[in-house]
Amino acid sequence: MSELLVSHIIEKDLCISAEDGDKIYHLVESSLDKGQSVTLNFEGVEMIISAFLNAAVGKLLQKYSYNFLKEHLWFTNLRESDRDLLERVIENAQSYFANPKRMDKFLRDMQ
Amino acid sequence: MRGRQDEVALDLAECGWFDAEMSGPLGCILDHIKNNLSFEKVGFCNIPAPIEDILSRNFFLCDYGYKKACEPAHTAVQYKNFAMKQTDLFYAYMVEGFKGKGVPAMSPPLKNLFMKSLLEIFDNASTHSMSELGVFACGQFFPNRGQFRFSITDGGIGFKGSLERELGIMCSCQEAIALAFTQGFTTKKSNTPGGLGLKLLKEFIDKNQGRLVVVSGDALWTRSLGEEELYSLDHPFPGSIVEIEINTHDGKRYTLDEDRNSQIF
Repeated sequence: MSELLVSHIIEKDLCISAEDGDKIYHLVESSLDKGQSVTLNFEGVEMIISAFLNAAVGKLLQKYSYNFLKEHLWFTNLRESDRDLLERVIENAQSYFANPKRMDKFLRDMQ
Repeated sequence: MRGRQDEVALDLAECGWFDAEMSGPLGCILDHIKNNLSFEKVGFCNIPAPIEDILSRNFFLCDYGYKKACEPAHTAVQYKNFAMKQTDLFYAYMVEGFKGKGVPAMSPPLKNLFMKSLLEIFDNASTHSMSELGVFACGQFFPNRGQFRFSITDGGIGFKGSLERELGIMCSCQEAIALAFTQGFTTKKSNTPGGLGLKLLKEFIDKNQGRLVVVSGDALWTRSLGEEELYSLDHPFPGSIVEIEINTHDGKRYTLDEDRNSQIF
């Protein structure tokens, strides 16, 4: 099990950009590919927005199954409001990757 | 509008009121005139004293050669123009600018959600608008009404332009706004999911019983108390505006900020 201190990696206490989310994604991916479980530690983080979580966590759903991530990815020191946001990001990512033709539906509905 | 061929002066003689948070959209229009329509100078003339007071207190007029005014009521959040992707600076601006501006009337979780919502809008504008004029921000607190209004404006390609550019979808500005607020819809073509920020904002505004106004191109869309209205503008805006109005006396529970270890998946 490896633990990643998010604020240390992105060198700030604000998780508010997709670019910083990408940094976390690549480190998590590297550990998971080695078969290691990962804990993301959000200690000291002041603010999190969906763009960061989409890049850091949501994108993982493209490569790894929900059940695999359930076994291997953990979170600690998340505020309850940020936990709610993370759950929405995961739900959205599952839907995003499950239906590659989703845009066609939106266009049909629009017409 | 008055002026010589290379100058534009906005004549405000007939202006009876100006909402301070609309300084952002006005700044965007004036920058658009100056930079994209190649005028040497833009400015004002015949500003009535009450309007000058409003536009001085948030430092808007400083960009046009007027003196800075003190802000005795501490109700204005400074007008500011950010470069794209200056999200960290925008956060620092909110933290500093909200001090003593009605934010104390909000519970800490409500304040957190308000700031999170503004960051989502700022990020959205930075990511999608392609604005060469940057992003304009401005806010106004109304203590007697218990309201806080904030606008985030860009001078970019608009919701419609973003759909055309990213997905090749041709639609009206009205349809583009409606799509942007649809759960699961995103203009991102990459392998990163998106399309959540504006939906979360809508949910927050509904729960808070606030109001959300979006202008993009020739479309004006509003949402208040769960009701949506859509209008066509005679003159399109050169970019997009998102204005949120929140009820600062809202006593609803917006989740406690307790930390806990959690298995999310």
